[in-house]
Amino acid sequence: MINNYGKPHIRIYYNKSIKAAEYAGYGIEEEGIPYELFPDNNPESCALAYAAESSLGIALSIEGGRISVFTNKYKNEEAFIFCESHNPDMIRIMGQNAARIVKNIPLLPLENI
Amino acid sequence: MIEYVAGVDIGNATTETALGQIEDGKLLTCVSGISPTTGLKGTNDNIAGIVKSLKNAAEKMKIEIEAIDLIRINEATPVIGDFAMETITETIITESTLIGHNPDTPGGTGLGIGRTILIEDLDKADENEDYIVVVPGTVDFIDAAAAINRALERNISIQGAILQKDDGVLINNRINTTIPIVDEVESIGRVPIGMTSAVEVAQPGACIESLSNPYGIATVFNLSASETKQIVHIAKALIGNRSAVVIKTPAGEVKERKIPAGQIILHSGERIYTAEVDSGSKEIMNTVRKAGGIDNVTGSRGTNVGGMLEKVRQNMAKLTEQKYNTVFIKDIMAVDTIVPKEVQGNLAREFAMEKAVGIAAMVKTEKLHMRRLAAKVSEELGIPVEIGGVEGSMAVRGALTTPGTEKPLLVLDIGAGSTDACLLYKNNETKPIHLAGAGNMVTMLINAELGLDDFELAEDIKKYPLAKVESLYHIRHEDGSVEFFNEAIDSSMFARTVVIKPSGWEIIRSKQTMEKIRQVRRDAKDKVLISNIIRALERVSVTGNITEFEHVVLVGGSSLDFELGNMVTESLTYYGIVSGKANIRSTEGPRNAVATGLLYTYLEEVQND
Repeated sequence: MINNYGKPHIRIYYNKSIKAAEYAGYGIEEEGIPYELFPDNNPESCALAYAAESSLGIALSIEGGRISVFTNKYKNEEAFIFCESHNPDMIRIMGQNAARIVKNIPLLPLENI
Repeated sequence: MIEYVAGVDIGNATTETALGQIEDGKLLTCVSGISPTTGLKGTNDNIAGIVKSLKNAAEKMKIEIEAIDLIRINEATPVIGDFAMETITETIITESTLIGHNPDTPGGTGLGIGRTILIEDLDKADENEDYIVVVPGTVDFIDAAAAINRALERNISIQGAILQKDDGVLINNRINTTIPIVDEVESIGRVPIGMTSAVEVAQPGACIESLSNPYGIATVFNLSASETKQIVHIAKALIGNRSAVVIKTPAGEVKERKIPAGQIILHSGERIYTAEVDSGSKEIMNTVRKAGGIDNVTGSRGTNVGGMLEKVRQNMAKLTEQKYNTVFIKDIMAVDTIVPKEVQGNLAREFAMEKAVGIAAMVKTEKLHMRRLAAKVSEELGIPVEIGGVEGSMAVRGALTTPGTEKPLLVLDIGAGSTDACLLYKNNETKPIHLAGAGNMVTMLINAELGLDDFELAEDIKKYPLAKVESLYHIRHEDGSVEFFNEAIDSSMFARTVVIKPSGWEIIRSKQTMEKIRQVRRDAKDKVLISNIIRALERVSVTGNITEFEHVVLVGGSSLDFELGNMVTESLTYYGIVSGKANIRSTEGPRNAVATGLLYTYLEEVQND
């Protein structure tokens, strides 16, 4: 069931660093997709639920240094892509890749950072 | 008395066996064996592959390899091919004048004209000037946006921006105006400061209009008619881009330079024919046709083509252990192509499409050392080994076992280096011919035209069909059909074009669409293989009119290509010729033709005795 979350957007749930969430947001913004930041103690389960129910079907969670991208297109109840990093460029690319799943274009490699 | 005779064909890639159980000159049963060829064809290293292939067949016949009474191997085709590519135009930027690339996400839209200024110098900007801001990667986008907004508040006219990092949309979203912003300009340090420049970004889905039009550039920079003529190559290099920057520097220019590619000289008896490489493949091939029988081909001294043809001869001499002065190029094939080449003096890895000519050369060698090999095999296995016959003649005998064929019959074997054809007349006479240009040249064209710089990937693109990964669970094949999967496809393949190989999928890291890659692949096969098949038919034809042939059969590994058989059938039907892949002994498909030919000619010989 699709919940009413308003205008289609990607959500970023984070538990500690708003800075990290902002970096991920910049990545999504550069790809031209709206996003919103939400602090939560349990970002992964929030992101999983939002991804399952929202219209774009994508959410990010940032739990400490673990950045995960959830999508309703992935049938397993786990992150489709994830990485452990505090590097702003890496976090931004994770954001970009979340947006790129929405746009259905190839993901950027994390190795080049 | 029952005897077992094996025909063994040592090819460049595979060693194939046709093992027959014969009683009083009659073939009772026949089985096939196959193994990868070990070592270079014609060397003693082949023995391991031969044994493996024989074992494979013997197992199917349920006999021991020692039970074989006679092995017949083929006289290898004494030709070997090589290829090279010559770019005949080159785009050069003297001083930095052009940035035309397609970052995924440029910012803003429109056309902006002004003088380039570094972001840190905005404080000193003049109110009466228009500016294009240059932002190096060391400046954070938030700081850059703030600096631009401060300048705008002071009524500084900012018309556009050039960024090193991928921040175009981010800056556009944070400034109080809409300007075109080109980002991901790697060599931003080479952008000249204080020069008039134009930045253009088109709407998503559209292409730039002003800077890809010579008169558009002339309007922007107030150019005279003669100056406009000079910048036509800038406009050409920018066609199809979503964003571009053109900077006018006093001494800067972009020009297309013709590289003196040299002449190809064909020696035919007492006569000499020449063709200019830069006049393209048509002219070269016309000259080849005019020359008829070719004794040797050379290139004019001191030119690229001269060096290239000499290199082919040297390689071939080394490979065949012949003296260099006894190796002659007997045929060449030229193909026109357009290749993306990095523009010299570029700032953001801009590419220009340059004209090039691909040339394949074919060298006739002395007979490979098959007799030496035959003796060695006989010694190792303790089985008599004889040379059965010439490869082409054997292939055509084997191909004749394809249901629906009759004499006269032409067989085509498209190898890696050369295209070999053999015509079998009604009276069993054969006429073999060998032409330059085959599978490797197709791979070279695919590699160059797609700018892959990866010969193995190009080889896979040539051999296997494509598909686009459309979601985490499905792909769309190039024929439009959709395939679903239970497990999610790896994220590295998401939304990418992949080659569907039997061993797994391979990602094509190119911005080209699947349709474009497919088109390049088919065009390359058409330009090289189909043209060569027509050329082969013209060569063996007595009248020069290829409609005289009725049956053309494809044999060899390359005819296993998933689309070539159909492409050949399509193009030869036009001439009223029945053509298609062979089906040797009704069971083997296009494989095993030569091995089968070796066995069947033995039967004929026995029966004639």
